[in-house]
Amino acid sequence: MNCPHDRCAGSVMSDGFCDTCGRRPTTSMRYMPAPDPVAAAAASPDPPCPSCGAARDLDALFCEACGFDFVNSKPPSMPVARPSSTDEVPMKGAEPPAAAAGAETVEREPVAAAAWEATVQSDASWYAKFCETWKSTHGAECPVAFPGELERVEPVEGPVVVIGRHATGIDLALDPNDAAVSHRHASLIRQPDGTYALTDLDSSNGTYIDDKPVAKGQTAMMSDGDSFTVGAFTRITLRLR
Amino acid sequence: MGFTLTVAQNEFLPEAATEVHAIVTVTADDEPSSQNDELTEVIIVDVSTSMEGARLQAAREAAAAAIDQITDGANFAVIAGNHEATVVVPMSRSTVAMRESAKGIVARLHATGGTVIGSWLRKANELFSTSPGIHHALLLTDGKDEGEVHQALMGSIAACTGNFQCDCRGVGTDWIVVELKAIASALLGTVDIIPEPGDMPAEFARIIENAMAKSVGDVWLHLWTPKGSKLNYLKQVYPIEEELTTRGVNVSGLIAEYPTGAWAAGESRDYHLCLQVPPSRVGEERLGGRISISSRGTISQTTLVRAVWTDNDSLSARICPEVAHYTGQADLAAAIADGLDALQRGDRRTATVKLGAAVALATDVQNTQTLKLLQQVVEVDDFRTGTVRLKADITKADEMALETRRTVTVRVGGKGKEAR
Repeated sequence: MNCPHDRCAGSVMSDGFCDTCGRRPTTSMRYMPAPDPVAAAAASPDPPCPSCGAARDLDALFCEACGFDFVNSKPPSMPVARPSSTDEVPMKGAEPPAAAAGAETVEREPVAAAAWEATVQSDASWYAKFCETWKSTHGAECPVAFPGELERVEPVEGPVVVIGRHATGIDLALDPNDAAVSHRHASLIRQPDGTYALTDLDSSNGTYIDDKPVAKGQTAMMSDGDSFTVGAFTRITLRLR
Repeated sequence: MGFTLTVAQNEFLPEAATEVHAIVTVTADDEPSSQNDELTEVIIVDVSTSMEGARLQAAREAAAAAIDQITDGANFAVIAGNHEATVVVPMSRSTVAMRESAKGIVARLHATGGTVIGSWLRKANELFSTSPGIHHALLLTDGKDEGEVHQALMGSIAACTGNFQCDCRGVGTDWIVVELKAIASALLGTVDIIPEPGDMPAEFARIIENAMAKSVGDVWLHLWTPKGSKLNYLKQVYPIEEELTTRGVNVSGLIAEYPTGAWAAGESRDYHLCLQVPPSRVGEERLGGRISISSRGTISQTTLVRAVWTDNDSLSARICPEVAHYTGQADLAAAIADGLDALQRGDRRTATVKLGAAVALATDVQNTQTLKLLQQVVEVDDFRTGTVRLKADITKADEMALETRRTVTVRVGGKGKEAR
């Protein structure tokens, strides 16, 4: 079993701890001294998602299948209305998600048999901003080097696409290999209309749209041509095929 | 031979705490190993001019008593040391006849010349290089190292480190504690004073008997620490305090091994481990380390040092009795060192305060042996508070006994055989 923790490439040993970072795969709620191994084995596995019934990790913040918010026990919040030229919805600016949810229902034309793809590229201008932020918050040079202009295209399909280093959806340990991306960094969740919504999975370095972070618990609707950045230099642009 | 490891610790840490302490007890199996390592013993006797008289006579008898304890089949040699090292009994396999002939040779040792301890060690190192198995030396001197600079002695010690273990004994009061401590410490041995020459034969016989009981040589403490963690210190804390932190050999990025020398069946020792772990959120659990014993290319059962962050103060405030006990004994050894230091400077006021603190600590941890030694230099008015008066007539031998034995520890509750 691979260690599920961010930025750890270790694997979990038979004693229940990672062979690299030394952490337990799931560490919350383990307050009892020296847990009885027999009782631990008999204990039920992590409860499934209360919304869709999919299996979940105890330390996951959102359901990877339906986007259910485990922390606040609520279904995925309404997409944030984003200014976008291709959006038919009237401009509302960056309204708080709760207001958006209460005020109106975002109507969308179902995109019949929508096929999406993601362009993954190293973005020098985002890298420059990242380095600047890093220097001001850490007081040191950014440890990640820019790999040069790289680009690849990945299909975006299925109910959920996890983005991260060694992730099942868009693997950012592959070129452009971005060390500032978490193992489970962000995910794209398919909406009933066939489009995808972006959510950050409590990543270490955040997920940004137009240089603004996607806040914890928020989802952002993605339209054709929309892009976001993760890690030190990775820009991902979604396109309809 | 197998080893059993147990850990005593309070794994609960308050939020933002990053230091983990644990006492690891390592016990060798009682069953004598079916396959014992071969033993090689080198006895080093000081024959410098100052030994002349009762000391040399006692040294001859002591060497003979030591030779008597060497088991059949073991290898042994005797070095007579002064300003140079002379191999008087060459490396030979122990038989009744060999031991008798060796005793005949040591009975005729005579005293002449100076004291160059470094040359004795180098000669012993040379003898050991040709024989396999467990290497043990017994070194006796009555004087301080002369005719070589201190760095030369340290160089000789470094050249021998890892090749053999060495128990050192000083007879009389003219030898230098720090010199023998440096040798014994680097070469994983013990050091002690033999104030009276007449006590030498019994002491020598006991040391060799202990050495002959060892069945596995080259045993290492095998420590894995996670990425991002750091070993603050590792020391043996029972039966004798010994710093091991800087002696680690890296096996891989996360694993280091620390030498512990040879072990006898049933032998048990304690180690104090202090680790620096990354700060973590309440509710998180992570390992400080995985510890096992590595010998003959095999790794023993592994034991875990854990860290669990909690906001429950009653859990995190608990004090692990073993950790507190050995921390107290480390303080005790340090207080004695400070007290003796002050005494040598003539600062009797500081000496009284420090040795008083030592009396209170020794009482607290129930280290009766150390308490007995302390009472040779101070009159105790109150053991609990450490109210003491310095004795007017402190002998050099009592002072040296305290200095050499201050790191000898006992287990929780004063338990454990006295190890010297």
